[in-house]
Amino acid sequence: MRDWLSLVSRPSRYIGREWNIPAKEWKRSEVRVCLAYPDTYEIGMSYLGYKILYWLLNGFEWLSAERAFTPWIDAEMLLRSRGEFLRSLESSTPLKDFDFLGVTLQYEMNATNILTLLDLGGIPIRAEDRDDDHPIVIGGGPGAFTAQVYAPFFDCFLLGDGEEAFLELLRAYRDWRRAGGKRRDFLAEAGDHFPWLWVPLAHGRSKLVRRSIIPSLDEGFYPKVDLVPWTEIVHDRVSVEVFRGCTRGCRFCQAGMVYRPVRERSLDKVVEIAKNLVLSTGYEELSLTSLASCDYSMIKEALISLRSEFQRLGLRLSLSLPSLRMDTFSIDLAEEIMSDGRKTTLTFAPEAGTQRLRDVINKNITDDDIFKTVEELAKRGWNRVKLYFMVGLPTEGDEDISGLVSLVKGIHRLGKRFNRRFSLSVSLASFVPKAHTPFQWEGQLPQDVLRERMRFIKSSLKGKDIEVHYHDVDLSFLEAVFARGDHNLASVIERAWRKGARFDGWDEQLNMRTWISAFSEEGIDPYYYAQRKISYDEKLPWDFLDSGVDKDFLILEHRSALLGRASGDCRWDSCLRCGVCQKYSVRNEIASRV
Amino acid sequence: MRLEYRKLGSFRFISHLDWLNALKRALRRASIPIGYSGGFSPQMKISLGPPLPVGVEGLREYVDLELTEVRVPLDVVHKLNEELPPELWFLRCESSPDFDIVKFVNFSIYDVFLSSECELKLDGVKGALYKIIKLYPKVYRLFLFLTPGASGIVKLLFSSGLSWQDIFLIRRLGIWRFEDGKILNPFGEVEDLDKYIDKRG
Ligand code: SF4
Ligand code: SF4
Repeated sequence: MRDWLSLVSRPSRYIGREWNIPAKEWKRSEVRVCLAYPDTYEIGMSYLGYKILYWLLNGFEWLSAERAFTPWIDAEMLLRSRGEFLRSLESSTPLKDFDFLGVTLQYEMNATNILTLLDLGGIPIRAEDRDDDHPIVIGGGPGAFTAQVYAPFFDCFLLGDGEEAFLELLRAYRDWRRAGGKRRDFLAEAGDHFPWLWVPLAHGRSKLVRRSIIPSLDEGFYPKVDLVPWTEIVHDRVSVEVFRGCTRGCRFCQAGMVYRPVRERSLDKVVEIAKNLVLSTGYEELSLTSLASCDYSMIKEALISLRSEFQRLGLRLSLSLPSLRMDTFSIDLAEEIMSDGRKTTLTFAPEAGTQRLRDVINKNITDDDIFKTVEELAKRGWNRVKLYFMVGLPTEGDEDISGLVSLVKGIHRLGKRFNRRFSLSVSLASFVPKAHTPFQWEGQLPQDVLRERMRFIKSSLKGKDIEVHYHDVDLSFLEAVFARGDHNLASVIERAWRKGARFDGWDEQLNMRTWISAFSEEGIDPYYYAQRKISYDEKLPWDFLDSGVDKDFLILEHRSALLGRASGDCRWDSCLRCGVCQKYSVRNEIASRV
Repeated sequence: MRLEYRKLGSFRFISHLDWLNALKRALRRASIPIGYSGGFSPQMKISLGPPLPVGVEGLREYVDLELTEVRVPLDVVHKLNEELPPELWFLRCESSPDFDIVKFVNFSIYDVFLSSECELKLDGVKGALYKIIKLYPKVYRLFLFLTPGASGIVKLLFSSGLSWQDIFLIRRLGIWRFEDGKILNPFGEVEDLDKYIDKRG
């Protein structure tokens, strides 16, 4: 069947048949969905939302959900040279033969990989060229909030939480087919019926698309098992989502706006899910995931009960939290996790180097917090710390850059004072203004300015045994183009893809020249998209995709940013009236308060 | 305990390290009590025999496990097989002989199935090659000495001008110790390799 496997790199990513794979008669389900992830297997399999959908859909007799990932370039070439289609992992069905192709939109720079999935799967890349025999191509995930960019390639988009909404859509489709309806007719009908569904060919941008929100995670679906891949994936562990949404309100952060409010899972559920997952997979590591897991109101209780629960079961398990907050509470948590005495790297994201700039971006930590945290962790024997900063933030000036340098030096000195083996690594990323955030009206700084600032930081920290990494500035530039893009960019994506652009998010794959010529051939000025400031009264290309957060709130937040005024967090301060809870009749669900 | 298993079909593409991880997870699912090393990052006491190159099937491969409780060997096999696909099944389990497999074995047999009709010439590999038999058109059986530092089967075939384009499948039939004219398998038992020399064996 896959006799090409010995000819490609990393063949184990294409073999499928992972442990726990559902025993289904894939080809005989009434409605067949292929969940396609536009990146490698190792990355797609690490994305929680994708797997939640997989297990949810496969829980129904009439429905089946298979998987496909963008094959790496060597495998793509091989399939093309043999005239073979890209097939699903489960039943080896060409993607063109499914009822639905669900594409996860997780990252701007996966765009070209979407076209590979479609084209290699035997599906016309533009929706207008598809007919009743082709699958309905639906996009979902965070990228759906800028769906206008990818619109020509999709038949529809689902905005917001996917679990219940997608299932509802598939049910409606099943009934439609039973009644003898045609696939394409269903689309327009569904688009009229479901407020969270956008059908670009039917509605253009005239429909205000609403977001689908699950009010409570406890009542929602969560898998009891997980696939155990035969090869190492990026997040090679089981994960329990402890909450969804985040209201810290960092002004650059899209996830913190479009997933409001906070919906926490109860402690009992977290423990129950963790137990199911660990026992059914044999995984040795469990991660409590969310946008900022230290903020989970029951985090300490969760870590303690998980530890005692697994001790009782006689199972060794390491726990992990994706990132830590800069306070001593987080160090306590880190200590709790590392019960076996292993002190790995601790990762923090102060994002900006000066208090002033942190107030601008609403990252509510003080220099004092930072130093106290570092002192504490160094004293307790942690010796590897990694810090994330953004460069080119709105209002950033030279004093912020030199402030960043002295902050890092200060941290290093302090760490060394309490722990001789203390070592520091610093990671710098360019600020990317994102749609649906208070900074959507800001521009990205020109690439040479960003490079200059990063170089300055790096050279100022030289000789201090501080490692400094920075993200590719060109890549961040392209991210910025697409993060605030409009429908005109689809043709650029297509052209770049035709010129060979693939896996552009992978540093070594990105070919800037391909992109620059694609822009110029399409007569599009990428700098206009990435770098310009937008005025408040301009209509934005994503205005019709409603995250629930009012534009007025974003303006207010932007104004506060420029005044250097921080805002609170509605979980523990008062409601800021961002609009979500009123509009969608939801509220912050805090586990410790029930 | 020393266990014998096979690795077949598309599972032959799992790398040595990935297979080790997969096996650890299967052992945990099967609740087989494996010992852990001490130290800051305790490791399961499990060691795989000589690695199979990615893409090569193995009919008789080996792994050593250190259990913390006594278990009926056959029971371990059954429990483990419930947690693995048939292509990765365990076939046998005995209490470990007191020698290290990797150091013990020095001899191996491979079948090579070529995709195109071509004579397999292995000139550059004198020392390692003990015998080569043409079983059928396009199918060769190679008897190789495994000496420390010697290149593996894949490199060997490649160095004689083949590539994966020309190879349909490579399968390792097993590994042994060749000593004083006798052949010992990794359980320390004397075996007769005549069945491998007979074509239909
Ligand atoms: S803490 Fe800030 S950056 Fe992190 S998810 Fe929340 S809003 Fe975004
Ligand atoms: S409406 Fe109020 S409580 Fe709800 S997310 Fe917005 S600020 Fe928070």
